[in-house]
Amino acid sequence: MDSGGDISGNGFGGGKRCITSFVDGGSVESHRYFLARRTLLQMLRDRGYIIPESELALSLSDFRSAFGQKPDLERLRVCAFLRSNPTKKILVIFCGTDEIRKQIMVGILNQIINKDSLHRVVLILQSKMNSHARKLVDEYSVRVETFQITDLLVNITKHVVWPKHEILAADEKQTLVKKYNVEDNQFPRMLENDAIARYYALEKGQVVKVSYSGTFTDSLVTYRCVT
Amino acid sequence: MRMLVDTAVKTSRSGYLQRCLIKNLECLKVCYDYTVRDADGSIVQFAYGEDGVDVHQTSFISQFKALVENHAIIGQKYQHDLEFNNYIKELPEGLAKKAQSYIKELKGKKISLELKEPEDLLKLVRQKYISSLAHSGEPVGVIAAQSIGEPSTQMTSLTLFVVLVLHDLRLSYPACRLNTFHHAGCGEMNVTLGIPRLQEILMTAAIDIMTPIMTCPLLEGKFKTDAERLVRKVKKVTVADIIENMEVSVLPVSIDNRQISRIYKLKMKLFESQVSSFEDYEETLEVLFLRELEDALESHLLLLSRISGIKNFIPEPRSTASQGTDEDASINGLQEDENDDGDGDDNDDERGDDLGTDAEKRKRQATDEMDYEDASEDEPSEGEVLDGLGKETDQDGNEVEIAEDGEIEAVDIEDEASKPKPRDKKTKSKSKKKKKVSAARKDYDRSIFVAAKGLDFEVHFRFTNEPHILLGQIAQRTAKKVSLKSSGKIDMCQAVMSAKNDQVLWKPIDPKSKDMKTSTPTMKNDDSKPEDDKASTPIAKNDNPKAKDDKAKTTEKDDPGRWALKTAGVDFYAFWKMQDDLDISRIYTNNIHAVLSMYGVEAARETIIREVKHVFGSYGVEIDYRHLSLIADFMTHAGGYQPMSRHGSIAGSISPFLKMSFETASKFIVEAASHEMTDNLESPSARICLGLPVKMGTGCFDLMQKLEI
Repeated sequence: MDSGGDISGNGFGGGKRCITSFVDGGSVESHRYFLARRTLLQMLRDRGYIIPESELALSLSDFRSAFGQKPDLERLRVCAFLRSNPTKKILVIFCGTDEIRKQIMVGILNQIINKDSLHRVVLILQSKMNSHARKLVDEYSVRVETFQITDLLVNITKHVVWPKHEILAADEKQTLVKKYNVEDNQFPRMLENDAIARYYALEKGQVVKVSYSGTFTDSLVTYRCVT
Repeated sequence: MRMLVDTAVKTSRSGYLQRCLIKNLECLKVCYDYTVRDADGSIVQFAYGEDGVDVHQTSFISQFKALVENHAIIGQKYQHDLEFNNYIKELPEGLAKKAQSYIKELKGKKISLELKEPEDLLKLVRQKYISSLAHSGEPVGVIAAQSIGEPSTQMTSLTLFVVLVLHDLRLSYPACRLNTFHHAGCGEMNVTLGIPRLQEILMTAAIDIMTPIMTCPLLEGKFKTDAERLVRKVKKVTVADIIENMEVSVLPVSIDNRQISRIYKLKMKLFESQVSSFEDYEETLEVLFLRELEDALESHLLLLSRISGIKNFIPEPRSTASQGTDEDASINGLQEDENDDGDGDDNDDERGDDLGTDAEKRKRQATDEMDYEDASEDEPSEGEVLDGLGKETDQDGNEVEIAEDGEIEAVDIEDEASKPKPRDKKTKSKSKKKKKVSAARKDYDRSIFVAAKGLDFEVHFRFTNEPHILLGQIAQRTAKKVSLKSSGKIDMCQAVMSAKNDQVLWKPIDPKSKDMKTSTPTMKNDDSKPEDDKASTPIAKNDNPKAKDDKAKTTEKDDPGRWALKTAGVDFYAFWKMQDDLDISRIYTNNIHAVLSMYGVEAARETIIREVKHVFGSYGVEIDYRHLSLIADFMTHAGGYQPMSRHGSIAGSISPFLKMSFETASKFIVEAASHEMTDNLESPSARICLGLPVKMGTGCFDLMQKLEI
């Protein structure tokens, strides 16, 4: 083992503490909420919701002073309107760290007031959700998306090498379909539960334009249809 | 000799790989709208190779100087100006950019060779581009398959060659691996390469790959010390890492319950380190470590008894000879040997043999899938065996038994449960017991005293009539297995510096930023200092910044501070947690399924290309990007990551003939018959089956004559 040597040296710098606790004295928890919230806001912006720039640029210390070291989940909620159609409203709810059972889910969903005005609900989970709760979510009158908080720590679309996605409008899709004389199922496909499709909340039949500006080619544009 | 055998053995593998590729890709052809489509008309690529250019025509397309010089010939060749059509309306962006910059250069130099106007060059490039577009009907799938398949057949012999050249040090090493490289200076981290890796990527689309790795460069302005700090955080710490010394003593005679027994005492002294608290230590050692140790002892003794059994019966070391080559063979060998001796009856043996072959035949008839089972599964175990060999040679094994055991032992534990073997009664009963009791304390446990206090750990074992063993070695091995701290699935973590072909997505260096770096190193250190100060303990505070400054100065000269973390095992979350130090937007892994589930299909597509390129790159072979991109596009075309075996996209093919002519004909015939499937004779296989010309190339259209009657 080559590891023996350097361990015998100064020993372990930080023990079990998370790296984030090195940077500042703040709690790991608030850091996690901060990252998840940042990614979430970026995601909503990319989906075309109105998110103020100040919210997006919020730094970790600002976040901590605003929400405290142990952020209140109620206060973390985000509400946003679609830019193209301000009547459409999205609500983001952070769930607690307990396992989500039916009872808890009923509680969460009952808290949503005037749900008629809502267009979508996003639930940020911190633990597993059991099948009963899942069923409840699926049957809810408003479309509910669920994300694990761990998946939101990093914005996956920010990756440098992997390509950028862009959603095609209906008329752009039509011209494409006409040009190549294809049906939806003849496009290269993207699954509905694909990470990118979930990020943009894509629905069946939508076409994304994928553009590479990678190391291998100078530029490449291709399309995928969500199925 | 080895080379010869290797070539002979591996040819079948690369051949099968090529067959799989060709069968899967045979339907792909360029259509009249320049898209690449499958037999059912679904689009695989919107433009072949992303710009539509035929691979054979690529050599001169961006060599503008040559184009200019041969201006006259090109002009002669195409009397009429070629025009863009409905589908391709302009030059591809990259080519156009390059041409523009070349024109600027020409203008700057004021040398317009034979061209009257620099702008004429654009026209020339356009001519060249349009004329080199891939023709409709081009069977690009087959071409891509061959372009991958052919170099892979060469890889077999090349492998050894490269190993010899690059790592001649390892020649003497008995376990000179054919398909893995030891990264120079990277300790024990291996990467699967060659045919096995290609099979993994293309043929099986394996979820659990043999050597998963993950890399991520550090943010700019981070130095080696940062990298090392992070490594310590991620690294798996085993018990072996914290042992300062280990002492084994044997009390030869002790009387207990009127039985003479020996007592083995194992004392360990541990390092003081801050990995975890003493309580954690104690718990791990008392529970996990002891459990593992007991199991290891038991299996070791089992092995000893088995080996001594062989020794008594057969004088010649037949079984030992076979052990090195294949673990399965060795196990089987053992089994057979014992069978023979136990029965000692020829008739019995023959009958057994007959039964065996009969059963095998029947099995084969029932499912002809058996034949195609690719041998990729045995690959990791081969590595294991070799590992064992390597380790054993390190330790001085005076006793033959112990020297041999390393190879078998790894297999032993799993095999024990699954295969009941005819053995002497004593071991049989023991293995039964083993199955029955799965509680924390097992029947065969030999420990009579355990104490873990602070940094000391002591355990006593009582042996009655078992043979003598070297407890130290067993304890050593166990200590390496039991981990105190591990982050996710990551087994190993190293800090690596930038090197060629190292699977790290480095940020491209532009010369400007390099100048910046050297001019402002002090500022950067100032930035990072407060962070450290806040975090580190008061003791570390005194020496840390100093050390860092020194380090920074030295690294500034030697390397541009480009460090990355590299792990064996893939766990994105572990790296995501460290995003203050790591450039998370450049995280990379060779596990394509992991990329697919975390970053989506397009990222997986890119990873496939990178990985295949990496495999061939390691052998110095370069494959045209168009082939790789076509294959990657085909594999991810349905939204997932499909293998190019009979379970992959070929299973969803519309042509029953194609499926039948690939593998497991009967299965597909039955399926086609029971579902009343029809074949519209689009796929090449189907047409060949019926003796028709294939709809590729000149066969993809019909000539119609308007007859005037």
